[in-house]
Amino acid sequence: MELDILEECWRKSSREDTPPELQAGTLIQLLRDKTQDVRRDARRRLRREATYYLSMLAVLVMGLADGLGFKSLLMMGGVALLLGGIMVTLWHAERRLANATLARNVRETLAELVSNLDAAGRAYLVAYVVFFVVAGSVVTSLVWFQYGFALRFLGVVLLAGGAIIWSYWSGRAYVEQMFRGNRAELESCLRQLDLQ
Amino acid sequence: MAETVDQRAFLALVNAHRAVVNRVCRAYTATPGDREELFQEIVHQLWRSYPSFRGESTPVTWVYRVALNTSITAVRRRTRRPAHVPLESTAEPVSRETGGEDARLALLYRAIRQLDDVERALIMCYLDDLSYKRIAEVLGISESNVGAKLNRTKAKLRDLVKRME
Repeated sequence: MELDILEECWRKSSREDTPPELQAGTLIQLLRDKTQDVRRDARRRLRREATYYLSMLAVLVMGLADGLGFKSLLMMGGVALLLGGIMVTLWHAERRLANATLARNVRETLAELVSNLDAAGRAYLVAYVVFFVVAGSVVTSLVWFQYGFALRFLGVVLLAGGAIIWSYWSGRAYVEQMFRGNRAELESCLRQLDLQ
Repeated sequence: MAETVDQRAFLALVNAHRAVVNRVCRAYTATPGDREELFQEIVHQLWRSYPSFRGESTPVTWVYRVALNTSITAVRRRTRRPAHVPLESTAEPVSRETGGEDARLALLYRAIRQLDDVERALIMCYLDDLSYKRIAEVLGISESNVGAKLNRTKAKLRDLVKRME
């Protein structure tokens, strides 16, 4: 069949085939539901992240806490601050992703989304690595206070350093797994646009 | 959420261009359920972008931008749960897929859905008689690139239609 015939068919249907009007009530309900959906999804992802960090922190705190003294209360406060900082960073990254407006041209929109995904990925990675850096610092400091510059301290420093390096690579892998699919799709569209 | 002047103006705008949104949804999705979900996503995005719409571009260009951007990037939201608002406007009666012009139209949509995202956007703008300048504005590419891409895409679409007949 000739493309011209199909094009004419399309144009005829464009003129005649108009779906029923949206009613005000339906629109309001739709906007409300969609807004809630977006928020719910962001909250779900943040809750999942918070669970990971809380589990790791719980292990750390249990290993280090010595009764319910001043030191452990200080540690709890530090833990709460650290977790709060991580969550604010991730929340900001999620907000940037969810709030991207799609009203610019396709090229600009895709480029902005790629940049937002990269920023979100960086935020996730930084939060993760900072967590390990802080945890490593706390552990090495405690060992130093307790044992001074002993061989044990050197071992702990090496272990903490190793853990930080590992956190960088595992964090990168996690972030890649999280965003790689979307990013690749967007980049593929950008390449299609650039193709002459 | 009470109905405001903004909402009334927005509703009028969406209703004036609902056929465009519907066609974009049909080109980017294969099932009525996905179509309805995408329609809702587009209306939501239009609402979020509405405050920044100052009439610098024509309403149809603006609606096209948001609708195409939402459709192309919908992959980001595939995992999200569908909202619960039934929209008759997006549901496609089965009878449309059978017989005469409806069958031709269904064939054309099936072929369009085989194109890649950018080609789909391009061919839809072309079929809706947007000028090269407008298409360039929507996609963010040069007018000469629009011409070159369009020729290639039309040839590809022709092949696809032949193979599908």
